Amino acid sequence: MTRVAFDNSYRTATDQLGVAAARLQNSQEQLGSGRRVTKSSDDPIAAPKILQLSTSLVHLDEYDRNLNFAEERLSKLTDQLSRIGDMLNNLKELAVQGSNGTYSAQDRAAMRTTADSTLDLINGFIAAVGEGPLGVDRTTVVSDGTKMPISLTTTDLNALKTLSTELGALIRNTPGDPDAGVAEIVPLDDAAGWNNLLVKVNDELALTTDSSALIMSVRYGAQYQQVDKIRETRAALRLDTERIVSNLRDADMGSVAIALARDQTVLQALQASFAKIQGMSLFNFLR
Amino acid sequence: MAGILALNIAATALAANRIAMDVSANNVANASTPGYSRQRAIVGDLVKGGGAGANGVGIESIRRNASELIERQRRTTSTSLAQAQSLGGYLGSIDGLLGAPDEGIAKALNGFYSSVNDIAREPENRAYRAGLLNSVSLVKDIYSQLDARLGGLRDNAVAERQGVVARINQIAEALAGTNTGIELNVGSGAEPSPALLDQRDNLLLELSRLNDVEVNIQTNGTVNVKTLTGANLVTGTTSSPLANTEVGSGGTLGALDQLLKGELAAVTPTASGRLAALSTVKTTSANEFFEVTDASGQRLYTRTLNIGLNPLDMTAAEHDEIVINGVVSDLADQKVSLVSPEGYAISGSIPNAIDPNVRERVTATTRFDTLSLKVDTVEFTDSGGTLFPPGSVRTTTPAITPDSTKTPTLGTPVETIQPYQLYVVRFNNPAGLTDVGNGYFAETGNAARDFTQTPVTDPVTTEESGAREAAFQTASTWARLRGVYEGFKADIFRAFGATVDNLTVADISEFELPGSSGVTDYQLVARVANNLLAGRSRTEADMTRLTGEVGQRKVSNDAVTTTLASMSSQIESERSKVSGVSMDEEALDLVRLQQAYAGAAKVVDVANRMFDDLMAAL
Repeated sequence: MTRVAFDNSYRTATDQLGVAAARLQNSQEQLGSGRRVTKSSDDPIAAPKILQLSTSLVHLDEYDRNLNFAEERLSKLTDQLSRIGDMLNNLKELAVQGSNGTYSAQDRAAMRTTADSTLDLINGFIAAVGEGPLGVDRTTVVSDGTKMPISLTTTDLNALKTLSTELGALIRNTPGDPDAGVAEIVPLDDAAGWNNLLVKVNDELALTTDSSALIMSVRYGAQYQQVDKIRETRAALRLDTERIVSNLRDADMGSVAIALARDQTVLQALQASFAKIQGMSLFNFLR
Repeated sequence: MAGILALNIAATALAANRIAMDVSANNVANASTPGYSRQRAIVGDLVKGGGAGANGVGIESIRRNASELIERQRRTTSTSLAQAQSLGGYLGSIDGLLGAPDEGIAKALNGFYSSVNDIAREPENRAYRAGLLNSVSLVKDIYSQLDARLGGLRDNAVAERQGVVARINQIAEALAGTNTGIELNVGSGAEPSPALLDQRDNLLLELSRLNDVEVNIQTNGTVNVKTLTGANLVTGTTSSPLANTEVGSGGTLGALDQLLKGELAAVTPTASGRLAALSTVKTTSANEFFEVTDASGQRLYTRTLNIGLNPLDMTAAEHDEIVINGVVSDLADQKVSLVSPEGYAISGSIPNAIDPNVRERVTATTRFDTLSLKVDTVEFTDSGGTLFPPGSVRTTTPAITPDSTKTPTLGTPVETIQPYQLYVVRFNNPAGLTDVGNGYFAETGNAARDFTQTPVTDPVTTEESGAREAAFQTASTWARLRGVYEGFKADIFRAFGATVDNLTVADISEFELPGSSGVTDYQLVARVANNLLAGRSRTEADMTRLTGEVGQRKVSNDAVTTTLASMSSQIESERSKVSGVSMDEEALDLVRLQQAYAGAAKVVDVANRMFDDLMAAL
């Protein structure tokens, strides 16, 4: 014969009521927070993944900020470099005119002043792209393993400086030393001098060398064009990552609501059955 | 006389049934008493001297319904369950402290690195510096809270442990008292009282919850108890207190010991503990280097920051603090070589022995951007002459004087002389680097001062990685978390030359261009930030590992707890079947006893009427 002790039903009910109440509380927590994983032990397999993916989202935010900055910098850089190209074209026009033998010395002197001012402008642009707090060789990370320039490279800056020096030698006078019997050199004094300048400017505009300002402009411009493409890819990646994080971390409200209703029913049934059983006792029939 | 006998027999029946009814009433009264075993009156026919005839009924004894097998199973299961439950409580607290995987300190660390990224990208933007300070402060605050609460949990576990040991000793005393009572019962020829046996079993059960014990029940019902480590707790009527140092082998005490050596293990500095070393990262007035020491004060690292600060510009007093414990040997032919603790061998020539220019002339054969040493314990092998005669005073700037307070301890000296404060060495032009002037070096082939490309590998990083890995080799959540944070602290210090407590905007940004006065070197700011970012993946990996393992441990323990709780419930049901009080059974017994009592009373009544009739006839 199986004996059923008085406290057995109490103990069973206590255990089961505790389990049911804990389950109900868990469902309630999930509904309240909207999250399935509110602490690591809720899903120890998913928890590190959630952390990794959330960190990836932080990285993506940083990459976005870096990309925006790179976009702005590359836009300015490309603009400044193309302006140098414009100035070179201006110089070319002057040089074409100057190399024409029909101009008088006075005309050439006026053209020389214009060329000098143009060189000043070119030097100003070179200073703008190459100097400043950012300096050269700066890059920023725009995605895992991908960097984008946000300044000129040293090589490019040196090429521009060389151009400036070479143009200076072709445009600007070299003072003489009367005491030593050395005469001032005026390179743009005649058609030949202007022709030398024309050759140099043509070389520079021929787009045959990487060190040309226009080529640089195209090169940095090409990087600038990449920005939108990277941004599009990023958006897709972000969406995907957010979806996975949400799947892992967030509660499915429908399922949780159903679970809550189920847990509530179970708890009520347990409470009712316990109350019913407690009403049954032989002692009620003793006289 | 027959009438009298019937009356006597009825009287025994009345008495026996009343006692049986008392037993039943006691059962009903104790129906909900934990650990109570149902008692039953053993009723027997009274036989006088083996003679024939009826003598009535008597209570032979009162016994309890109990099974030693079930009690043993209860104890075993209780030990394991209490251990798992106790562990679960603390693991739950740790899990709760760390919170959601993407919140708390992990989120704060992400915020910090995001701020560093902003500075790396736009070092000239001053607004980001305040952001970085805030993020550092947030990491520090969150860590401090976690550290304090984990420390609080540990303190709690230590206090609970003391309470558990005290309770174990109280139980041992009580068991010895119970043994005394049982011996008295048995000594007087009676059976051991069921109440005493219940008390014994309940004490043993509680003891089993507190620690895993070996229980030997003697034939007379007394019990001897000892721990699994062999410490006697109860021997007969004597109890022996458990020492506070005794290691728990199970139960609550076992769980607490497990926690105190595992998840809540303190970060104890040891002579060889690199983590301890990291926890004592020190700043100095010079703010140009940091050093790490172990618990004994032994310096493990002193590293000048490779951010362009020139140790040669420091004062002699500042030099005094710059120490790498290495072995300087072979000064023959005016050569110096030194092996640092990391195994970096450095050697160079000293064309003019010790003079201020030496520092400029020594050339390292291994890569060091900038290294400044004071060698205070050295082994000289001066086979080439008498470069450093004992007691000599060198007139250099700063002055080099013998320091008799220091004793050589490294290596086996071939010739020991008074150690000198040997101000060496700026190792210029390290192999593989191009000296680009003013204390800066660039990778060969790279543009000069191209700090944005490849972060410099810092030997300290290797050391920290080792320390952090060591922290992760322990089960201690506290140590792991501290490992992550100490790495963060050291990163901050290495980058900015300031501790997290006194970091300022100036520390983050005021790196001057060489040769300038007050002009910020933004390239250098960016480089420092990039160096910090280089340690990011390590920190992220550590946090991920920590997060996963804390949860996994809790869930595994929960699974064990659930299984054990189920087993325990099963065993309690079994015990209930044997020892529990069934109200229905007691009600039926009461009816039965009432009937028996009424029958006996009727016999008395009939006998009484027989006597009355007899008396009336007279």
